[in-house]
Amino acid sequence: MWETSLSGLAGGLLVAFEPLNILTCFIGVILGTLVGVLPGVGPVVTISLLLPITFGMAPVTALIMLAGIYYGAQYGGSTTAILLKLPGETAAVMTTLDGNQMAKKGRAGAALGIAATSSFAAGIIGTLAVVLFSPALVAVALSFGPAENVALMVLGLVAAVMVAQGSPLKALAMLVAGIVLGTVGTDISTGVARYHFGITELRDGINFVVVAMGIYGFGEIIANLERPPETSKVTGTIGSVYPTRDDFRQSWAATLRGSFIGASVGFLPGLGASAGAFAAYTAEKKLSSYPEKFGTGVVEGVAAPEAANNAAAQTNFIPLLTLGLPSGAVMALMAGAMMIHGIVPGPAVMTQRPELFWGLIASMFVGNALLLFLNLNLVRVWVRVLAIPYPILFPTILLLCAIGIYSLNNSAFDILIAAVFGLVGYVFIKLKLEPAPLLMGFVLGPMLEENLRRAMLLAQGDASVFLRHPISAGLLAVAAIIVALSVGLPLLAKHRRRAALSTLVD
Amino acid sequence: MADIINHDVAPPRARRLAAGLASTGTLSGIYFGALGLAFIVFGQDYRVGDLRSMGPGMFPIAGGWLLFFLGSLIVITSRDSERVEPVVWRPLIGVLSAVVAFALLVETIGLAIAGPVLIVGVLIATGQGTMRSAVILSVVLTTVSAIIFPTLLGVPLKVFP
Repeated sequence: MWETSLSGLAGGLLVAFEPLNILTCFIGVILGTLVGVLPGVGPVVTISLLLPITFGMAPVTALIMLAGIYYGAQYGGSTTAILLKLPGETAAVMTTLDGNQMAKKGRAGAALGIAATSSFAAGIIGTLAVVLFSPALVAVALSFGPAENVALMVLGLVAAVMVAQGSPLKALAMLVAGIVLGTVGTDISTGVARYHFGITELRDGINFVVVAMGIYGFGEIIANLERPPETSKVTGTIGSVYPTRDDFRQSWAATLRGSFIGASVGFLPGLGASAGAFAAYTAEKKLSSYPEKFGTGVVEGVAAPEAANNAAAQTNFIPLLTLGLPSGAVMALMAGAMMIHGIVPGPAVMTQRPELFWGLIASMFVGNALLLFLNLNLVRVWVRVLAIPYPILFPTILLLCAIGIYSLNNSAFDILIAAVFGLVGYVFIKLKLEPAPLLMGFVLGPMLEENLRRAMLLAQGDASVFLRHPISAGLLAVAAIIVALSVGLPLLAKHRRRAALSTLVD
Repeated sequence: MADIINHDVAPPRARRLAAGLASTGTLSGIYFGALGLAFIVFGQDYRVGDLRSMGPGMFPIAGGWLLFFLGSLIVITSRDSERVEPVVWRPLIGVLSAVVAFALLVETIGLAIAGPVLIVGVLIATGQGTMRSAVILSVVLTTVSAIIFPTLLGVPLKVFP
């Protein structure tokens, strides 16, 4: 197994170091940092926007750039978190606590430097985890038949539901909504066009990029415009971005712990970078000999969550690349991007397209090194980006979104569909519904239907096949336990609270 | 005034019902249920088949029923009535109509008109731009995107009518 990792990585490094790939990686991480810095624009919109541009590229080059946007955004998110106390990315929420306090004490530069170096260390550790664990998972996944694939997808989708914010029941409904919306268009096996209402364009189905742009681009911008514009006031002076020796001595252990927590959290399907950052910050506070100082500007409070969110951003790729399971909205987009380039995400990618698989992973080392350099040297540029006023920013983004959607299929109809999903996305925000499960269901739905159909065909319509195959039975059992726990535990907690209250009253 | 009347006249039960209807839980349940029903109703023409050979209708209709069931469950179980925040119409209508106008204009007239229409529409939606900024932004953004997309990236985008 280790040999596979080593030789694969060596081949991948050759691909990643091709000049064109270094260049696109560079563009990817720069754009990623940019969207990470800008509050209100996330990696989902940026990846959707750039997808049409990658059509002409080789698949590996395209994926290197799109991946760079995602982990680059994790770096960029820390800049706004520290300087403005605004998380540019949701994963940077924990960084605002101590990072902004450090900035208020005049140590903004040190906080940014610690964020950059710990993100870098974590990025390398996370990528090493991808290198080491992927071949083993691929070996397991290669033996899967349609029944196991169905069980695996059910588990992955259920896990995504469990960790979504808010009520798991609503997240489950969002997931199913995504799956049924994914059936619009021509059914691959029977050739029947479904739910097209006589509209020719709908016979080809709804493009997932259009859905993502509508919900995340249009919907979020409308919601952003409702709030009064935040006054961007950079806290204090920035100072030197190179942390002192003391800072390093105080934070290296936190960086390592944060990296391991983030890497393990990101590896699980459904858990993203935010969960990793939260877990790492909490753990660091518990382990510290001065927990009361957390939140007043301690270096560990910046190092741990920044390490965790970046490590998780790397290991997030493991389920997608080895099992074909996207673990969130961004990974669902990456899955879609792979399919556009004719690659079906799953274990076959490593065996049949090793140059793509290892090239993408090796590029993460390159990308993280570039990001360290960019973040230590260009902080002042990013700060200036923050000063772009909304009346310039939003029209620009919307125009780019509209043209980007048009260029997917040279279809103005797609822009109309995106507008509909913009309204849908706005309704989601008003109803406090997390859109990620919908996007995952939308991307995975057709694959689920296809595998289910094949599994049923092989088993002659006997649904017990899912329980007779040991692997699929095991996966489904885990999924069932997750559902029971996530629906049951909150109810139980509510009853306990009510019982406790009534005893108090008595 | 209206507030007082409401408090005096409306029986507590009706008021509770109204508050419950406007809660995020109830509304999302209704939304999911309706979407599920739509997929069941409009999917009636597709052959369901059996498990051995699943027809085109089986998966979406089963999904529709599941969604309808989940939606009903959400309506029933959502006891805590978290009120929906009020809708601010200006950005919603402004952005959506700007985008729709762009979609309708871009293939017929071209980017030279569709671009400024979108930008001015969005600026009206933000309620912040001035006349001067609208003109400058329209000219700059439309020109830049007219150069980047059709020329550099080869997107067949119509610029002039």
